[in-house]
Amino acid sequence: MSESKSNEDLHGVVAYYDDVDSVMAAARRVRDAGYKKWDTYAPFPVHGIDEAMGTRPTILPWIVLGMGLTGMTVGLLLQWWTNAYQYVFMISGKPDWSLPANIPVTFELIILFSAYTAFFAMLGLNKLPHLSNPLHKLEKFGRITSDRFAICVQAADPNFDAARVRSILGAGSNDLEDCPADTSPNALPLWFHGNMALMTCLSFIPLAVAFKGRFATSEKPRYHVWPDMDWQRKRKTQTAWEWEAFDDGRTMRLPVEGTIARGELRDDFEFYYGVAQGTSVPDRVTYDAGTMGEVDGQQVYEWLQGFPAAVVVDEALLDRGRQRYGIYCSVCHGAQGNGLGAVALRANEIQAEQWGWIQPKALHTDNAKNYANGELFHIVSQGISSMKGYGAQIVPQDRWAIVAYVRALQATQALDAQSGDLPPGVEFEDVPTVDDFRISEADLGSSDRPEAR
Amino acid sequence: MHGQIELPKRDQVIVRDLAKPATIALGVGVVGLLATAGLGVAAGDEMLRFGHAMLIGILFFLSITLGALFFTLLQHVTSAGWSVVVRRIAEAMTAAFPVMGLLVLAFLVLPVLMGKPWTYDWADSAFVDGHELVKHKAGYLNAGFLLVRVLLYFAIWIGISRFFAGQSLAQDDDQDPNRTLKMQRRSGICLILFGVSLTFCCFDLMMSLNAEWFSTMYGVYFFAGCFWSFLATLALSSMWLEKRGQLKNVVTVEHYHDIGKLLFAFTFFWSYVAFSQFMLYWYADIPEETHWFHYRIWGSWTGASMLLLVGHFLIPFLGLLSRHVKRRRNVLAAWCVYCLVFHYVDLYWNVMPEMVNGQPGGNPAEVGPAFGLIEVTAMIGVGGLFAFAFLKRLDGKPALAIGDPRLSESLAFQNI
Repeated sequence: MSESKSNEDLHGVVAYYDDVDSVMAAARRVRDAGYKKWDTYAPFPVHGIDEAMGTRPTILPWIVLGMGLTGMTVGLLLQWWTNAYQYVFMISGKPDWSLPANIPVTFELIILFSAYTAFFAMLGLNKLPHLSNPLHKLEKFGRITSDRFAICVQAADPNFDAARVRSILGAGSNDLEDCPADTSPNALPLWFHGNMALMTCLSFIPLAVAFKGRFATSEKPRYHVWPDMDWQRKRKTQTAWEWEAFDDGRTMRLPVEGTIARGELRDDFEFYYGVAQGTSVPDRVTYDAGTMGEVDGQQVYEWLQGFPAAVVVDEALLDRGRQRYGIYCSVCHGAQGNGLGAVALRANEIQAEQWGWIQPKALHTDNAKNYANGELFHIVSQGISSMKGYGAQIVPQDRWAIVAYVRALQATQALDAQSGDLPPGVEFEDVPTVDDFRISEADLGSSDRPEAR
Repeated sequence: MHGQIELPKRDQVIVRDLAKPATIALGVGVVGLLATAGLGVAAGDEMLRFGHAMLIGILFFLSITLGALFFTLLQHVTSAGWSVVVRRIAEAMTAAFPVMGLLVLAFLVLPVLMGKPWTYDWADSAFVDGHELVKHKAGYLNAGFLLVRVLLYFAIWIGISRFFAGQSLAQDDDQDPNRTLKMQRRSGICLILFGVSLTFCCFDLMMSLNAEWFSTMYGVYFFAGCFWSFLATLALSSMWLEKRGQLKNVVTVEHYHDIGKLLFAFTFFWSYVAFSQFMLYWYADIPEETHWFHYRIWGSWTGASMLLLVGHFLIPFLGLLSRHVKRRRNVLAAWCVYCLVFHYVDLYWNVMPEMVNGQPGGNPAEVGPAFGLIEVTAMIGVGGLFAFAFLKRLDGKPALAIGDPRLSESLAFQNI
């Protein structure tokens, strides 16, 4: 019984070895003796030590594999949810959810999940960080970080018998010692608890600030964390800049008088402006959307009714128009031209009218049909009402293609199921209009954020 | 355990009795080439099928040879110790460069010099005149410059491989560690030369099949296949020499584990590069770039493309993932054979659609894969000559670099 009493004061028996071969031999003997709670200490990784110690293969690879597959699932779901489900938005004419575009993000998430898992699971399986070990109190033990090897069999092992352990370990070593158990209190000091509590509280501050910003309104201008990114000291083409510019305040020289830049010659008025050759050319500034270009009931501009001579209206042009329309116009006006694009639906859902949002127009209305081709072209180029012009993004040829496609949309949507205009075998379905999505007064009264139907 | 390592005796590791197999391989190779030529003439398609079948055969074994050269250089530039016991096999494989050079000159460059579009459409001046883009590339894609470049590539490769193999063999006798230092010093610049020459060789021999198409990643793509197929060949050759006795108790399961790890890594590297090349073109969606992928993915080649995706990436990726697979010789050998098969599928998928493309009225999307006897004989023909050069170099010399100062490190190598 005195043996068990002394075991409580004893952490374990340590033996020191001078070379790899003797520590390997001793490890094999300890393994064969059936001990479980023991370890080998060496200044460098010893090849073959796991076999000598009888260490079981780690399950770490399986954990990493599992988390890698989790990362793959999360990556794919994230992109499916954001791109194809929660907020469908067309990007460069690609499908809402297309696998090739998702591979890089999925790949990165697999790597992220696997790498973090490998690192932290390794620490966890090794029970690290381990802040204290009774062996650290032994003076001689310090040398195992430079030129010695050691084995320690712990007294906590169910088979522990100090005399037997000493004889097993002692075969290759003439330096054995008992390691006393660590009797110092293992409760964490008070200052540690205090600091941890304080830091935990402090860590909620950024979260609380973000939370407040999300739900509270403020009269003050927003705070700029990086003002030099919000107001960059860069000069765009032909903008005035008070310093570091030319003497006349411009950032760029004007073309030499009497010259014109390549591709800037716009002598074909029909093609570039949508008006008859030689007549006055409208621009955004003078063109008043309210009067539709009329002054005192007189039409100022001679809008082109058909298409310019330079534009051949054929199937290829319509195809091009459909593609360009899908990229530039459909987000607001909708793929069917009914004014119900993704942006419009979202604006409806959050009732953006209250902040001055103006519903995109349906293109099937008589108003839209009555525009001349040239006027429609002008609207695509320069914009109308709250719609910005797309002249900077779309080349003239493509703007005409869009005009042609809008005409085709108007023509097909004018077909009536009853009138017999439709070819046989074609299904007819009413195009939803904005009224189908309009939020009723009753809805407004019943809840704060009605869902779009 | 360092004390227990016994260095192998020179007599035990010398490879003997390979002169006869080498001669047989030469015979088989010549017969294979003659049969391929016969089948090519019999096909009556102006040697189109012959030209492309030969190109795949040559590329297949040239890629293994290039992978061997890269492996040799890589071990020196990283001062790697584990690989000393298998490096000699790689050095011996690089002996195939002269034979490969002759094959490239005879079957790929000579027809171009004669103006025959057996393999390359642009060898025909009528084709070039009809294609505006190709006309602008004529300063690079012309017969004379092609000959100069091919000679330059092979001069580089033969020069580098002779130096490294020669130093290693000389070290067997004098055990001079200075030779190792000398090889290490030169390996860096040699790797740069290797990378540039391989990239342009791939542009010339493979990418110019469709002279209008271009991809700056194509060289990396080909390189990934080179090293992948070489690693498979290395493991198989090493097992064969182990069985013959020369590498018995020298190459251990630890070395196969490492070769397996590289094989696994390059399975993924190939997929990574292949996808990177595809995705940039898919995303930008510019017709002059996408047409190459278009007729491979939509049309008769859809099945082959899917086979490549699944067979070249998914299956070997999952198959080679486990360490137990890499540490069992028989299982690893089976995967090595699998990898070589799919390296062939990869080259076939790259080369064969271009046989129809560029022909008047030819649409690769409508004419699918047509694997036949001529592809088999071309592989036997080129493979026989490759085996001849490889065996000839191995014969009568030690199967491992017994003079290397890090031999004992390599023999004692263990994965943790």
